[in-house]
Amino acid sequence: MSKKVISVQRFNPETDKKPYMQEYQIDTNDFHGTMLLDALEHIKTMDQTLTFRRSCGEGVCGSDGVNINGKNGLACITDLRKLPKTIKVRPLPAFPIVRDLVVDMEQFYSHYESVEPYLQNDDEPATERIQSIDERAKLDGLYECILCACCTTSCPSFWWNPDKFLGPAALLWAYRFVADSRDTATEKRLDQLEDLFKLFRCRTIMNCADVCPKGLNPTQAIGHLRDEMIDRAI
Amino acid sequence: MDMVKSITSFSSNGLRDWLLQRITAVILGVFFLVVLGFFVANPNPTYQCWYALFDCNAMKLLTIFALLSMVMHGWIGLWIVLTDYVKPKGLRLVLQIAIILTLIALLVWGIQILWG
Repeated sequence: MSKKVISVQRFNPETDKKPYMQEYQIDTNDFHGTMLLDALEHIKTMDQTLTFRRSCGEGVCGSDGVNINGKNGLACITDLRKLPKTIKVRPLPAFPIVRDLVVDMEQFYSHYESVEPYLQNDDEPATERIQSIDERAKLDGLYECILCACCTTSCPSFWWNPDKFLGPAALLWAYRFVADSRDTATEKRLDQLEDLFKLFRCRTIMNCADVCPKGLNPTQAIGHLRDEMIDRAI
Repeated sequence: MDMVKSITSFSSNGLRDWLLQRITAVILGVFFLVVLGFFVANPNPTYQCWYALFDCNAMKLLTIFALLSMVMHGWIGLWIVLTDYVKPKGLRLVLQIAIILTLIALLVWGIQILWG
């Protein structure tokens, strides 16, 4: 570990007509930590105008999703030692840029909201809603999503129809509640996804599973949703 | 978000379009495997040999299924391509109509060849 060149996409809507790349020379011995986020924070001590989101700094909150050398990921858990000498950092694609690496995620959240990502069950349980170990196991690989948007913004179907296709993250969450033995709104949830775009614009190219920093597989969740739809329609 | 309505898609239902695209792909696959098998068995087919293949009712039926599958598969698939890549609505509609008419023309032409 020593010297790296970090090229960051900059954009200030008040002064810049379009985004441009700015290079920073860094020495990894000059700061603590080994992750890309540590390097960005080090750059910020040199150039305080650089803007990016961060919160937990350990891959739990999903704030610092960025495009690293062409592939989406979380800056806080991307090891600098595994990156080449020159690193290009851009904001997540397909979203409007607010400033530098900060993007407007309104569309992403409105798709997430549209799948009603909360447990729905009108029956009042006497005590708790009991699940068997097998029923609970079905939620593994689904509940861990941190809504960083790395998957959705790496999906060409979302790039071409961001207003109509819900994207892998929202669909993963839709399946998380369809798969939940305590949820009784499955029929409604599946009805809402049966149009031409919301789910079916997925072409199964698996960019989402390739980039997910939590190792989840939205493509598989989408496949399970399709199976549920076919199962009740045939 | 409301359901997206489309009057130029094949079935207006995402699930039905998706399933039809898979079923028609299998039918087209079977058709081309049969034709490929014919060429393997007859590396230099004569006109009579080719005529005899399509003269049998099973092959006529399979060909009709393949032609119908081509129409559905092409309509569904190219509709998806156009709604992805062609954003101006007027141009998209013209291309959609052109594709649908072309597919139907190919179907009619194929039926004419088989029973003409």
